[in-house]
Amino acid sequence: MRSRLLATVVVTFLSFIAFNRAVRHQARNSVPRQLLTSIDSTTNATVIAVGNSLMAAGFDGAEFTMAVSSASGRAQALNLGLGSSSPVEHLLLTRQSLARDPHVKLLVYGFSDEQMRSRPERAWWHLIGNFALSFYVEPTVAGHYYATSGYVESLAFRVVAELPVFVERGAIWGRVERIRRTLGGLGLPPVAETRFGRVSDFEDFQLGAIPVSPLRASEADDAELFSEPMRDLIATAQAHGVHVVLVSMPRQATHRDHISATPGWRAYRDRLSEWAQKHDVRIIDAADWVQDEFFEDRLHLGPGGARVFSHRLGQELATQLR
Amino acid sequence: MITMSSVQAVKAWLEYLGGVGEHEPVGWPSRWSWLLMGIWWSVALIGITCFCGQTSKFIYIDF
Repeated sequence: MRSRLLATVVVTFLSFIAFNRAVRHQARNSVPRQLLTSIDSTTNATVIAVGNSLMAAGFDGAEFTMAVSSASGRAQALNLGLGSSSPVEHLLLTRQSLARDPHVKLLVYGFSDEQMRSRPERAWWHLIGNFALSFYVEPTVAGHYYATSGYVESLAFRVVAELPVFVERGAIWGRVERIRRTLGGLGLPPVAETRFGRVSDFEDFQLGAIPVSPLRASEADDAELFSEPMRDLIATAQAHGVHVVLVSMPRQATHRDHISATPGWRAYRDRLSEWAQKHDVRIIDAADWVQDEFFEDRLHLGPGGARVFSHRLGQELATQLR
Repeated sequence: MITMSSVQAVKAWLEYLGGVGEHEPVGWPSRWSWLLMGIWWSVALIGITCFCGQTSKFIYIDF
């Protein structure tokens, strides 16, 4: 009886290993892995664009390069924007890029609202989808921000990072969700979708907490302006001799009106400008560069909007790329 | 044709697989029980993994 139970456990364990391999295979072309492949295959980028889905959708590398060239500059741009990600993942991608490509001169970081000062509040066991990057690109670095309670949690983070079923479960759930949506949509009119999902999902979605939480005057210079991974991202770039440009990404008029009326936002923006002047960081406010009709949903620029934004950004940064 | 005895047989099999019944049902391949149960546990484990995901509007679709 005992030997039969043991045999059953062995069969289950072997099946589990096979399932892990299958999941790893299925996730081999996930969005973060495609970005890592881009980093590996690009060895002459002078500009890297980093950020979340706003940057992923909004930065058109070809248009940017053309705009820089037309202003007598030279640039080869790589878009490292990653949807549904935090500054921790942005830091990891930046480290990967800078470690492989010595030609990078400029890091363009796209942000919106309080994104740069929001601390990573997501527990590591909630890291799914594109956040999974943190498990397989320098988990020791990512664990520093996500597994903060001590050695045991840090060890747990490292252990589950070796389990594709856990790390890449978003790839499985994403497929199940697609089947669910397909079945749920049978007999109904087609729903508008973009690369980031259903357009309607972003209708009420706003990045960051609004109103912006007030700054405390007693805080050290940059402790309140940036979260720890964001500070480390800027420091990493500067340690490599890369100029950092922080770009407030294009947003729709209603959102701009809403946030600009918030006293906390104005105070944050002013403090950010002061800090940037002291630390050789440039800030570009591109929030109103693109008209609402160039957005494909509430948040993301469509291809036309990306060209408008990237062209103007190229013109703005051309002098730094001569 | 579905008979009462076949329904009862299916019920006995499902109860045994689900751990409700301790005795092997009629027709259960005792010799390969360890393998069948291992496969069954694996199917259950994989099924749970696939369908335990929290429903999120923002599960990205361009994998």
